[in-house]
Amino acid sequence: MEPSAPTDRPFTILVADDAGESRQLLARLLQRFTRGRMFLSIVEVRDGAQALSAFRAYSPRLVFLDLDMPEMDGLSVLREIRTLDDRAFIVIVSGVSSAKNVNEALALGAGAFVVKPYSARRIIGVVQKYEKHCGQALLTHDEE
Amino acid sequence: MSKRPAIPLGACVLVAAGRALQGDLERALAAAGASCQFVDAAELAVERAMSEDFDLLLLAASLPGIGAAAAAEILRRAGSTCLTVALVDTADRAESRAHASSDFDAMLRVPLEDEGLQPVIARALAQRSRNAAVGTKLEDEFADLARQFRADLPVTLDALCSAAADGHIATLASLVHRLKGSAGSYGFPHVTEECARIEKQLSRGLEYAAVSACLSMVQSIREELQAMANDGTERTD
Repeated sequence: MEPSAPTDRPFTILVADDAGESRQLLARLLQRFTRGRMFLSIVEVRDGAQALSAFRAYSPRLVFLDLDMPEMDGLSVLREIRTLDDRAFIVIVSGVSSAKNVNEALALGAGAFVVKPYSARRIIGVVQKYEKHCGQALLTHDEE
Repeated sequence: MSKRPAIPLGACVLVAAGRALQGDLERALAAAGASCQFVDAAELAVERAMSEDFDLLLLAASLPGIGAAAAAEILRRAGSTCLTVALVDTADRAESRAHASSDFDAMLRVPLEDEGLQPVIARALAQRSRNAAVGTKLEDEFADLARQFRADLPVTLDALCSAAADGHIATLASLVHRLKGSAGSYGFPHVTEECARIEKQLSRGLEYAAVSACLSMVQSIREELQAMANDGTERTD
């Protein structure tokens, strides 16, 4: 599916990671890639329980969940989200890239898996995958 | 942040193939100006391709483990943008047909021939150029955050030492976990790896070993920060 043009509809990205610097970096990169896009907000939370609350409150369409978080880990949050919403695009992030981890996340309904440390290439890759999957443009032109 | 390594001129290729094929593949890729690293199982190919940025991934069809097609499918579904190519045996038509319809971007026959390999290498390098253009725009963004991370790091190191000295294992585990998640993104991948090892020790109840490893790591990071300040890295990135 080709992405449509950006619209003025509110759009929320949720970033859940207990490591503050890592979460901040991802949020800053996403802000940079989507600079100029109207009505876009990025919500940051630091554990799985907060991620679930924020998902219920904001209905984000794009969600980044750290695999290894206190309270609820990323896969548990993913399971819960899938009982509420089967359309949100969930990206699991982790410092560990084992095939088992990746396979498990995909089997639970993750749309992508990103391994830390972050690179612009990997983040852009998953946002482009979101765009193709959901038919909605997110990246602004100067980063494409 | 530590200085970025120079970008090699040729393509960086990850090759997943049995040992019997590796010698011939290495020679063909070197002749095409590419540098390559080898793994010999499909699972290892997934792990390496997910955690490092290669220009090209070559997967031999006969890989042990989950197999080349499954590895390519996992990588594609996980969002990998690395150009992924199947290596198939010239003689095996059924194998070629199976890979033609899967998650591969292209298919090459082994033994590799220059006329087949060159367009694939060119395609991988073109993709790298596009990615590099984006990466350059983001360097300032990374540099700002990295400076802040380094400025805050001594406070984290002091907190680690205090937690270790006072035997506050829960605090130590929390600090190590946070450092594991962030250090790699700011040019300290070895710190992320060491934190992962310490976390494993803590999860196995090896608290003495973990505390000892943690104190060594803190000392090592302090020396690294001092060396960076001395050689002027702080002022250049």
